[in-house]
Amino acid sequence: MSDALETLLRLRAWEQGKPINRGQRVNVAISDDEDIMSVAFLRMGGESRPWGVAFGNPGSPPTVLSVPDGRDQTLVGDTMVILAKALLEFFRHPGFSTSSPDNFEVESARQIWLPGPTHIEMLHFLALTYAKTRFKRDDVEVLQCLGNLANCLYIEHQRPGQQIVISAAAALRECFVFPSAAIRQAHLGHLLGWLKGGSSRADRIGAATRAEEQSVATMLNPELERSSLEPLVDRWNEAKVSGNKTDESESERAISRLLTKELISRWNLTNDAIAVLRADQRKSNSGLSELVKSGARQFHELWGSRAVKEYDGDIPYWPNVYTDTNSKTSAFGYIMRNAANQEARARLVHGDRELQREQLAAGHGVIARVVSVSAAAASWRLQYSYPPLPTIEPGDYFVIAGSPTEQFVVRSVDLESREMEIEPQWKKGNSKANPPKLGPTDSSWKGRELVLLDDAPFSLTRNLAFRARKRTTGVSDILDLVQPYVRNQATNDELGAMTEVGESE
Amino acid sequence: MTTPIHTRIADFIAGEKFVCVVKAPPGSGKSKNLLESLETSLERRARIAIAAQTNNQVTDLCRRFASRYPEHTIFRFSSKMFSVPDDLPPNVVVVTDKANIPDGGCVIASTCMKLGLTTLRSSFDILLIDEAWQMTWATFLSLRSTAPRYVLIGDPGQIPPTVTVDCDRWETSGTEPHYPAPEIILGIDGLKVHTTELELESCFRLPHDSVEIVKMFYDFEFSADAKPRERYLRATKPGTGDSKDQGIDLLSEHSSVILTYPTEDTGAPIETDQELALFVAGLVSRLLERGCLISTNADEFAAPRGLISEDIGVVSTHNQMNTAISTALASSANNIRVTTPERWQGLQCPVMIAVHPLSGVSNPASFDLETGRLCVMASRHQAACIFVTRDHVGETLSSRLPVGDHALGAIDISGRGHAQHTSFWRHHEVRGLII
Repeated sequence: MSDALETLLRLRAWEQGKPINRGQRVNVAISDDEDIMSVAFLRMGGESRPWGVAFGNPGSPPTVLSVPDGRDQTLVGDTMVILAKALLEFFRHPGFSTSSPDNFEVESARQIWLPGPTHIEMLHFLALTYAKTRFKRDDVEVLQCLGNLANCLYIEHQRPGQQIVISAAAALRECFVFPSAAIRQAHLGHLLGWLKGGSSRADRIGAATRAEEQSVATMLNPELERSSLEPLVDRWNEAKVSGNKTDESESERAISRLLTKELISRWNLTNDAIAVLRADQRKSNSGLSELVKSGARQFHELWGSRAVKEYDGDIPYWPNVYTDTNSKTSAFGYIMRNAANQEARARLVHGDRELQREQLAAGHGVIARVVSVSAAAASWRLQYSYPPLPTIEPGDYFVIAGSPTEQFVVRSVDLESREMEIEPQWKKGNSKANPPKLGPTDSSWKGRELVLLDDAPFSLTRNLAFRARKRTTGVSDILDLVQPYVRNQATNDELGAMTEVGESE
Repeated sequence: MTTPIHTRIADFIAGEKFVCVVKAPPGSGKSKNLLESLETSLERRARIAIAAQTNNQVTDLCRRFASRYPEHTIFRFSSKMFSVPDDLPPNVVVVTDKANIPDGGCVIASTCMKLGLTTLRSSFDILLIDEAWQMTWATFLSLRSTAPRYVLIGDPGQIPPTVTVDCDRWETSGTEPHYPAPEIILGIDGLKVHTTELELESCFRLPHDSVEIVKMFYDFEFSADAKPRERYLRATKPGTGDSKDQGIDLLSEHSSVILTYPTEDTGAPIETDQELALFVAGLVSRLLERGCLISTNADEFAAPRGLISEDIGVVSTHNQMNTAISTALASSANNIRVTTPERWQGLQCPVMIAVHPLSGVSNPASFDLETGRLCVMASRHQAACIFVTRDHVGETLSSRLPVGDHALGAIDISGRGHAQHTSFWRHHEVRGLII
């Protein structure tokens, strides 16, 4: 969306004294409770491992785990094994559940909801810590499975249109326009304050401002950590060294109480966001189901198929936690991400008129009146009014908004008179469709005003991605001349030696 | 005398190395050199594939090939949806089915996308890629089965491939898939011994002093073919002395000026700057009213011709601004091309009016500071270029430093852009070319 349109909408929301709907439809998929794993993390200042975690389905009390000192990798590892088993079961890892990721086409779509961006970053930290860990413990493979799952979830989160890893704050912003500065809208409590904080503007501002005083990120409020937790952690460490069991367990309980309160607060906020979205009166975008299906297939390729392969005793090429060092892999990932971007737009825009308006304002389509329909040549003449695009060219593709199968190719365009000749690409009408689909030569098209949107060829883009990844056929491959890119990759686990990691496929 | 670049490209084609990367400044005859280099290969009936980024570019290459080699056929390989222009030369044959591409020696031309998506029956000996800096490394990889050897020619100073997705994951991959393909090829150690790197040394399009300006956007040396003061725009009628006229008067001695327009105390408009659009339209009128003479080449130096509206082009980075300018130009817009730098790439015009990409931008982001657009805007003209902007740009560049939020080890594109933007502005400032 353009900055100007966003500003306009924010002013409108301010005028109304409350968040206003963004879009005519809800454009975020929300699974049923049993298919949602809501997760919130905490970490100690300066540490990347979790200090504590709360997780569970929204309808039930969460499991809350914490350790007295977030720097103690053994204790953290113990809690992460518990989290790992729960997450791996939730995502149907064959070693931890009775199902399998291979059933993605028939099983319900599962989602992990987190409060906001710092919690999503924790997925990357988990990947960095555990995917390649050489931690000498019996259950190290569970941690490695967690690391690889977390890495794939983190990568999936960057894929446009994905509906598996959801930031609650981003989901609210996706569905509502809030009358506050962008920086404040990163705070989930602030957003919920605006949505649930009362009936007047003043009440809502007050609620949003009060909520902002509480940290919702993975880091605690520094004052709380410094004044309340730091002395307790020191006490716990001293007690451990001196063997004072009473002091050790008392300080551990005190730390746990504080961390649990903070974790549950973040976990509850996430579930409040889910509840707000579920209570929304708007219908879900009709394109979401296709997006969910497509996402399930892609996440299966990214994680599920590899997890199954590994469980079966094979050695899969897990994605590198840092980057894709193999040229073909990175090219594939990049082009697929472009295809996902095109697909997300194509799937959602037809089901939401406000998204269509945004697309028009961004120059991704035009409003046009059908001037004539030539039955003989199967071509139409159109006069377009808004926006006065100077970028339309012969060969461009458009589809009718709301009807993605009715596609046109531009044959000629006169930018001055804003007239163009287009050729319909569909062959027949369908009187049984609801609403009935007219044939391309039907004269009743004449005089109609249509919204035409750029057509995104995401299936072609996907094909290109596979071509970039494929080995060459019939000719030598220039990539054979490229020396494998080898880097010294240190795991976050200081027990492990520097691990040499070469090409990833 | 140095060996012409097309001869050196031909030598590469006849040799055994795998890749030839040709860096070309604007208006240096990229396509001409590319086509000239094919003469020997055509004689020995090699299988040659030529790729470009857009259908228009491919069609243009086909026409030029047909004109240069009338005795040879070029197969224009395209999708079934391609609108075949009515006036294609007879030796350009449009092929939509790969089965109709001859098996033996032949020349085909297509878009990178089309070739990337096609599994050919048999590969080609060489693939020549025009405007290669507009192609990502990822797209290049999809072309690996087309041929085992490649010539990539393009302008490294121009607009890089558009990136619309989050690419954090690959910022440190070593072969960033979203970067221009030639940049990656030249950066891979293992490919260096297999790569020939060439540079075109002369810019034929731009006036002499304009070449000095655009050189700041390049990492290699080139010079102007034009002699100093050979190209100019000279008004024959006196002006009123306002800023437009002062700018026009400067163009008799210099080829590039910046005209500033006051910024309101409340700042420039955040979206479409209608006042500036009217100012641009007024500037066009003034150029035409003052009976300007232009010299765009050595022949016109002593015998300049009168400026007509078709000689003027307008460029602005935003479509909405271009629409506002077209509307303000009213009837004269018919003859005046008004569009984005992306669409101006590869084109030229005697006189260009450019809306500075930082005009109205109070806090430049990486998109604004990326200098490819500025470079395109500053390198389309043959005689004169007038930048038009709100007057805050110098102050904005001095007071707003970009955030270095790029990955460690990655190129600081925003920082580099800020430095180049500042140099561009200072170049005009110290010469008294900002009014």
